[in-house]
Amino acid sequence: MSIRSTTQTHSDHPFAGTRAVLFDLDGTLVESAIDFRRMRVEIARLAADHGLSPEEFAAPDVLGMVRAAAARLPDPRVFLARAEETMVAIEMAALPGAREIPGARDLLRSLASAGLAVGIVTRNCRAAASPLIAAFALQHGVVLTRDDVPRVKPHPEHLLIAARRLGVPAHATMMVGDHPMDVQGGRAAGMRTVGFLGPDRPESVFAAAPPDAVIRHLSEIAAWISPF
Amino acid sequence: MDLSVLIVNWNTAALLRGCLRSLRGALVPMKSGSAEVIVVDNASADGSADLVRREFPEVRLIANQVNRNYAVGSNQGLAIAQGDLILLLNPDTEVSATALARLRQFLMVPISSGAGGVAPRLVYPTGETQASVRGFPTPTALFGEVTGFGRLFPRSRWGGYRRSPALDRPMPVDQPMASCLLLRRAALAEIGGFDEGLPLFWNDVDLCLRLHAAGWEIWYLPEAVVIHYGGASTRQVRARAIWASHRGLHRLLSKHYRRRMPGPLYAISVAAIYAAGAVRVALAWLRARVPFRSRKLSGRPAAARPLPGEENQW
Repeated sequence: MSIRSTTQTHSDHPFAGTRAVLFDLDGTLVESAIDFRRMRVEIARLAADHGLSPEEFAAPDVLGMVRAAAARLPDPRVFLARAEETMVAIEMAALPGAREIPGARDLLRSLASAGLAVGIVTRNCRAAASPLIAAFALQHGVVLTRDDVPRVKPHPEHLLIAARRLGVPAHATMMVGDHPMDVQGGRAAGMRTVGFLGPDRPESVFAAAPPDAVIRHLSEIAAWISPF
Repeated sequence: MDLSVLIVNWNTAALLRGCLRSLRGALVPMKSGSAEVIVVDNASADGSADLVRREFPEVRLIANQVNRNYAVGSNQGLAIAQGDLILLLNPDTEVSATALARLRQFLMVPISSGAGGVAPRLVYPTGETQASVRGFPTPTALFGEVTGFGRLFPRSRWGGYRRSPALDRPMPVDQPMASCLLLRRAALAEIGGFDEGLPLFWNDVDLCLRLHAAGWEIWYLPEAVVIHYGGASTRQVRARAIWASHRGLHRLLSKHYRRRMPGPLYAISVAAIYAAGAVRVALAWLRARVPFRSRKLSGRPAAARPLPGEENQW
């Protein structure tokens, strides 16, 4: 079964023919309490400890900072190990504060009942992602964390591997996420993309990489599933 | 002693830790005993003072029992500082050894003898340069600032306060942010530290105005790069901060420009400052009370909006 519009014009719905849905985890299925400010501070400090100045590892995201700093170091192994250790510690510390995004569990259950394949793709580590997925009973066919792939989103490879594991071609896969990197990754992989705004964020969040659709509540995706 | 680093902190323990750790690295190239770090904690409720005692025993800590505000805290630190150079530093910064060395070297070369202070290029954690240098708030520019005309017409004289020069070369400037500002002790001694009548806002502008009046230049040095997160303390008390800012503006106007202004113009300016302050406080108060879901235009309150690079990115 595939996603169809709940209107009468099934065939012209932009998501008609979707057979798999990939979800970002933090911010999309789970309200994450990860302290990214602290993470940036700690990574910046670590890079400074390795003799790098701020302009040498500046990047819009933490993993980008880590990559940029590592590229500047002749032997980045110690730095990378410490950076990973730092990030994992902050991710694990955030677990108790995590909450389910309203409707996440129900949506995944209804997608599975409707016969759609579901995957979760996250830049989080496996040690933190696994307990979150278990705690909120997020039904899925595949989970790919940053520990499982050589290159994480927005690199399309992260999403393409997930689609391949689900046995669905990219053009029949939908990527749902709250960050422009989710949309960039989905677009680069040739997937349909949905930007999750939640109740309060403006649509301009996705100005740099507009998705095919934006939603404010996860139940909007459930409404796209054909009732028959 | 060559250098005293002075940090006034209020409820920013996590950032303070990052700042002090960065300073540890930045001060490594200096001779032992040639630099000191002073933290004045304004009765933080987040354990900042304990953090300093526990993790940074080398820091000279002044732990105030009540929040004595930024200006008083700075003067407390200046009173015990022993360095020939004083680095005013916000706790929401990260300083590298390279940046610190470049700032110090700048003030050491003879050609810079007229410079009372030097400020680095401040960047967001993303690397994006911050507009950290502003013009002096002349009465016209203040009028533009208070009424909003300055933002509407940034190229006019009304926009003078917010107009930032191209921040790509070293140059003398009116007033850089004091989030990271290296000053000569001699220059500070000449003007007498911070004006405690300007507790939180405009005290850096006042400091620069007095340095200039005393014949000192203040320079901007883009090759010294310092990470600045920005507004960490003041974001915690938005409505109060707005009102304090307008009160400070009044004092600044009175102190530096009143004698040069015709009486009626001064009176109108003061009225405009407080009227604009009242409007902004009312708007902040309303924003804080409008139910979360119905805030269609404003989105999340500014205090909760993450800075660039700090949003959820997993």
